[in-house]
Amino acid sequence: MDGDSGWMMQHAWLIPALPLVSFAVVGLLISPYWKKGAGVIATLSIVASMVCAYVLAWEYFTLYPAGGEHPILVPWSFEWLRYQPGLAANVGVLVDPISLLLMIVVTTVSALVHIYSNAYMHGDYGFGRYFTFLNLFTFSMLGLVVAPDIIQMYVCWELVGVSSFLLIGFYYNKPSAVAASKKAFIVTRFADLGFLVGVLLLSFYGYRIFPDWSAEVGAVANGLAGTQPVDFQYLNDPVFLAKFAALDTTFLGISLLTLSMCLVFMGAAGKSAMFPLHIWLPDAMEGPTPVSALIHAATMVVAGVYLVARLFPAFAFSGTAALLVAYVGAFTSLFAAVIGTTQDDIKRVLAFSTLSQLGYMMLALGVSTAEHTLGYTASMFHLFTHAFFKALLFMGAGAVIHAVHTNSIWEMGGLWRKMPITHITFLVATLAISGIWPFAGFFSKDEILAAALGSGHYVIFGVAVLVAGLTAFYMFRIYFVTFWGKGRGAGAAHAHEAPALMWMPMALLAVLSAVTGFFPMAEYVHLGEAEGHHGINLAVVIPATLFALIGIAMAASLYIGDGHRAVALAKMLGSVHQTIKQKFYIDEVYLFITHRIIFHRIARPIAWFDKRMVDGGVDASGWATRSGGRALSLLQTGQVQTYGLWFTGGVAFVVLILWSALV
Amino acid sequence: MSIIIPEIIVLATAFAILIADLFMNERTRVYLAPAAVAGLLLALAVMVVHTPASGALIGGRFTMDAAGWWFKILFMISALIAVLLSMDTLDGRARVRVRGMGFRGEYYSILLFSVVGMMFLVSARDLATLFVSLELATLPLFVLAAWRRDDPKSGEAGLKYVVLGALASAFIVYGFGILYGLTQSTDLETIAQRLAGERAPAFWLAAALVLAGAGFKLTIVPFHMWAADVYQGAPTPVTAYLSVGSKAAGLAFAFQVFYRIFGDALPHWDMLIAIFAALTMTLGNLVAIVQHDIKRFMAFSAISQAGYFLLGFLGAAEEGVPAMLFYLLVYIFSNLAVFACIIWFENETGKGQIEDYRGLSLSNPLMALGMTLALFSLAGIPPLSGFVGKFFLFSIASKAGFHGLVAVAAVNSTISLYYYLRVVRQMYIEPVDERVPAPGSSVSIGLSLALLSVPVAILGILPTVYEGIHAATIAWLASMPQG
Repeated sequence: MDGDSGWMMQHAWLIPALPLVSFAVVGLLISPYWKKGAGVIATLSIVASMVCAYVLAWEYFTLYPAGGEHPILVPWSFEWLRYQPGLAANVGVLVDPISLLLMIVVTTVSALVHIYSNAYMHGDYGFGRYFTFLNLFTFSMLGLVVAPDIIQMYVCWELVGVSSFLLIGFYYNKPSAVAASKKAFIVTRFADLGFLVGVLLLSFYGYRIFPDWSAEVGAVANGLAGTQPVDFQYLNDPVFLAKFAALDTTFLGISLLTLSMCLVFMGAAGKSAMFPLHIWLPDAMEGPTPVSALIHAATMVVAGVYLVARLFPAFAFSGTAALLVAYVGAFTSLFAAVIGTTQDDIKRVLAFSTLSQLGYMMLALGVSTAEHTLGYTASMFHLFTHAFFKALLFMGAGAVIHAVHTNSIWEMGGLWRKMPITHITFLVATLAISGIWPFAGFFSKDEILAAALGSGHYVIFGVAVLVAGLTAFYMFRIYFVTFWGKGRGAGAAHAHEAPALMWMPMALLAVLSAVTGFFPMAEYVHLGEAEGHHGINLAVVIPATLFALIGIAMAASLYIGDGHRAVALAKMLGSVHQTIKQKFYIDEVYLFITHRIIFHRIARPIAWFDKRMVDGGVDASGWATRSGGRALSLLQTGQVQTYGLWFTGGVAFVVLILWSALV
Repeated sequence: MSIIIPEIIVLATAFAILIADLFMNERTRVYLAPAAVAGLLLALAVMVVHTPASGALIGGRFTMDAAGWWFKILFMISALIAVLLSMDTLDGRARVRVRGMGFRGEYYSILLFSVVGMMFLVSARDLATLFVSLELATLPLFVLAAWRRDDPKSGEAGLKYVVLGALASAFIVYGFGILYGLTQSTDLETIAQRLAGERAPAFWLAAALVLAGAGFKLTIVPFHMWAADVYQGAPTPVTAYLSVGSKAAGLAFAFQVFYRIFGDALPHWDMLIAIFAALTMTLGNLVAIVQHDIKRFMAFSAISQAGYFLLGFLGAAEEGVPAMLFYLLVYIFSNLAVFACIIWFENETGKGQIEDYRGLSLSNPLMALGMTLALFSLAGIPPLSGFVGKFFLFSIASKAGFHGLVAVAAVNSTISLYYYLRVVRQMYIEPVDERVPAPGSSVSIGLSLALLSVPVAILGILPTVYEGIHAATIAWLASMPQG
């Protein structure tokens, strides 16, 4: 790097490296011997990484001030594995506004969750293991965020999946947790298959087009020296995209560019739990609650959004792929919000709310185009604010669960007096997610709605406004039921405020949820020239706020008091309510498809074939290998004469081969 | 002059130990091993800090180049670790005493003689020096293999080794003789020039004889037969040294022969090399599966690893040489780490069957972890260094068009994973049936294992070392006779 870039810029690798080192040290050396130390050291490493991320952001925005050009820098990278010149797997750190944004979100939330977990997991038998996995996750997530090329992104993507699997199944002696971890892993792994094919398509054609592209663009002159065929900077380059889209090869009439972007989006949809791959996220709530706050609310699930944002120029160039993103996102946000209104488990409501908000971010990305990029900014803005208030909601839920020892909102109630801090912070987060001025969610949601309206997607805009109302309704539903009224369960009567290590991170997040809305995101995160903050767009604000207020009012009228109106309403709606409560029976549909159709009709014959033919073949090959080994070991007679004979025979063999090779 | 200083230091240390041993009693002889370590460390320091990367002495008969520099470093590191691993056994600190392992002065000085031989081997530039230094490197190994004089197995190992080693040496001498007859020169560069375009049958015979000699050192099938018996019979610290030192010397000899004498003909030999590579890795792997004795098991593992090395000769030298050197480095670290555990376990329990390692993860988690890491590296699990080393070698073969061979190598890697995991399984998964007394710890072996585990874990992630080797190789190739 040039000399004027700062120290942190040149040492940006520290940000993912610190959690990695801590993972190794804590996992191997500390956690077996000194449980408490594991938590402390794991936490300190993340805090250090967080400080590094802040310094890095400060350095970057000093070099390239807000409102101006924000180039993509790769201040540090090295070639890890080279197959041949120009085709190698690199490891590096990419710095640009969105990677910085994600670094800040991930390190901040992770640090707070680490601190919180020191109290929450206190006395748990897997305390050391827990922090080891948490560090592994943070490292993988940061590695994903800073990936300068799609290979590193994919590797870290899988690592993130593994750490999520390990943490969901953290209570491995609880069958439901084990089942949930398997479900999460299999569903996301299935989606990653699409991503992998997309990566292979992109890198194969990327490598083919690369020489042409270098000749045309003059990579060196454009400051793209050292660009590899798998780098994002190259994959997002308009010249490359034009060449890729213009290839004659098509698949079922779809251009290869659109096909690969749709496949990449399949991976993103799996990780971000978009319909119909959303089924793993609600079950993932089996993990410890701080894990839900970190992984399944604030960071890992937004990896899909980040991936789409990272490849945004490619998605926008394809057009069709972007529309797919928009409609999948919009549908998921509505679908999940509707289910969220009926769930009884506080963490599940939050999980469906996460799904719904992720859909928001996706739809914002999908509606933006190369010319009209407000949605891109809005999506990142919402990712930013959502991370804080959603993590806070989960932490609050964790504090409540910790105190009441149940997940069901109907066994809580009246907690505002016993847990005042939790109550206030939860209320702040609820207001933020409902989009009430002046809390953070108001501003980011406003931008998303403005983007949808401005791009002319009126249906999507309508859906988004409706979802804003539903969000306010289901959030205030759990808020009223949990904190107001009388204590209903035995646990609720004996609840007490969370310890300081737990409420302090929550208080900090509450402040962030309240004020981050005023952050001038468009000055920092934009494509092309900065689209100035539009101020308050009344055509957006009035319907959104109106719907949110109606939602709150309905929640208040139904759930303040003994809730008999809600019961009556549910009875009136009858089977509709039941259908929604059962999550539209999507899980049952999957079960039917997997069990009845795949297992019975397809898997059975395959299993038979597998058992008789494949296993037989494998056993046979194993047997052949072993008996081959045994037979060959008989050659080893122990007789020096035999050895000498073989030696001499070998020489004769070499002579023969050399002779035939040279004649 | 300064290029020969490391050799002189090692040689002087060897003699000093031999002479000092005469005036010492059993109690003070514990200082001999530290003396050997100090000598090697000093030589290493001189090598790293002071020695230029190239130069020539004695009329060009002793030369220094970048690849040679790396080889010498590797020889000295192997010897250093071998001394550290031998200390406990020789000083009688092992809980289960090995009888007949005395004579420390002779042991260390003979070990050092062997290192000097290897170091001269890479610097040799004519046939006579090459042969004499090869013998200097090998003869001490015969003696070391037979070190336990009251153990018939050790004696048998030494005898087999010496008989077959003599056979190999005889073939090499015959080959060299024919080469001299063809070219009337002992100077490697002159030989290479005069051999260019040579097609006489005598040339093939000479090439075959020399290649067989190199194959013997490198344990290439079918010249590998000695390895299993010698590895198993020799005292375990000697086996550790044999498994890396002898292989490194074999690779150095192969470099001398392939790149300096037969550089012109090498491209025509890919098929031969490919066949030997496939044979070696397959046979080594298949036989390793059915072994129960861990030393014999490691012998076959070492044979199969030699097959991977051969892949490096298939591509262009500027790709192949750094890949082979890097894999040698990785192999030395990983293999010595495994042997550190084997030696420690044998010292503590006197046992050496794979099944005996049952439950080691509970009784000594750090040792088990070190061994697991090293075995995974040998099997080539990412991101450990063994994976990256294998990746480079495999990609050379694939670029040279030997896709079938790469497939064979990949299948072999999978098979090897099976048998390396057999050991891990014993340590981690198999239930512990009896309460075995927890083995004690050892400072020298623990230190070696710690020193070895770090590069095993990080060499695959940090590319600096590979880049260093790569740069050195480019310089080395530039200095080659035919470029």
